[in-house]
Amino acid sequence: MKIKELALDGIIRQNPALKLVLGTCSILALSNEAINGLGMGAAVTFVLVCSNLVISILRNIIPDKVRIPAFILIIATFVTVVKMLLYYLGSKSAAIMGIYDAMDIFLPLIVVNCIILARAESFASHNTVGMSVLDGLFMGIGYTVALTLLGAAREILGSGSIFGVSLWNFKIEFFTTPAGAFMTYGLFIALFTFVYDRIVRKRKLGGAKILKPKTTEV
Amino acid sequence: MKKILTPSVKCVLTLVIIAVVCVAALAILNDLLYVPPDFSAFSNAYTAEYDQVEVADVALQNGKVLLAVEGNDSQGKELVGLYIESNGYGKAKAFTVIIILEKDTGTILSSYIKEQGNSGPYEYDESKLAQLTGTNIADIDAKDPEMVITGATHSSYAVLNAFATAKEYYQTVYGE
Repeated sequence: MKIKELALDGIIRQNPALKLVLGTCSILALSNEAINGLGMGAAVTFVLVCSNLVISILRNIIPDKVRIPAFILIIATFVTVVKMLLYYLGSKSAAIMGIYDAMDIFLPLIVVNCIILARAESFASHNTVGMSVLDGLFMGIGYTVALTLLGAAREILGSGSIFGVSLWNFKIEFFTTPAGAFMTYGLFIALFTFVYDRIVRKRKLGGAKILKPKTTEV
Repeated sequence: MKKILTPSVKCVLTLVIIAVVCVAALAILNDLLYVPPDFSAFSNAYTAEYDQVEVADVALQNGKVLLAVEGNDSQGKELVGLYIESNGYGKAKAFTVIIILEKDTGTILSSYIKEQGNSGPYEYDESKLAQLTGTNIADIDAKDPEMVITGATHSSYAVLNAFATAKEYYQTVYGE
């Protein structure tokens, strides 16, 4: 039951990208293509799971006064591991090297990604190892799904392709620009909030049909 | 002992221990996953699994082999990848070229100019370079005036010298 709650929190109720609006720099920069979104999401998920694991293990050892520098040290280590791994795999596959190159400066900047530090501070440092790992996993999945969908939408509209596969020649290049990223991200948040609120309201009404508020004519 | 372990000392000690453990873990991982800086250039040129091999001690006239790799592509073709620094030609110096060859036949599978040297901003003709794909390295004549790769004579010969180096190296190391 608790796992279901964690999953719902990470993927929907507290989705880092669409509900908490955290880590927006990398979201805007790397949502130009679906594959870049997927790559960044996978990297963030790896760091989230590993850092939550270690921080949860060390939660009773790290003194409270130095917990933030200690968290940063641990997170930075895992970000370096991701960077090394990606470069190693990239040396064997051009596709992975393409993702590595696209991530550019945003890969080392995962260290200061608010999602990771927020989960370390608010969850992993107060919960058991198992729960912390699951929290990191579900938060990572939520972030990855949002980033990949955003990337897919921008790629379809801006380049007429998805995951590099050409669909048609129609393209609106505005969606590949930073302004297009802001607009698409905004629309995604609006759509997510609209659907989420409707579902929540429906649940509160016990599945009853939502009635429009009555208006009185004056 | 208790007097030494004040809360401040405890805080510093914790951070130092975490830092040391992290650095040690990264050092071990770096040793396991170390990739030479230009190794990735081979997979950018031609997608395959590569392993670094020792550069053979061969006297080459037109350049030097900086890095050599061998690998297999998805179709099972055996490959040789060479990262070559051309001796250049005239004013055109420090050209580096990546050349991927089929190990058995010496057919050029892919090539690209990694560093354009110091001869000036002459754009090389990518279509001309692509035409070399499928050619046997033995058929490359670096002195052929018809084989223009860039918009400038010196740069063109500098690039072709890299191909001549690959030909020399391939024939010496992999030739019969």
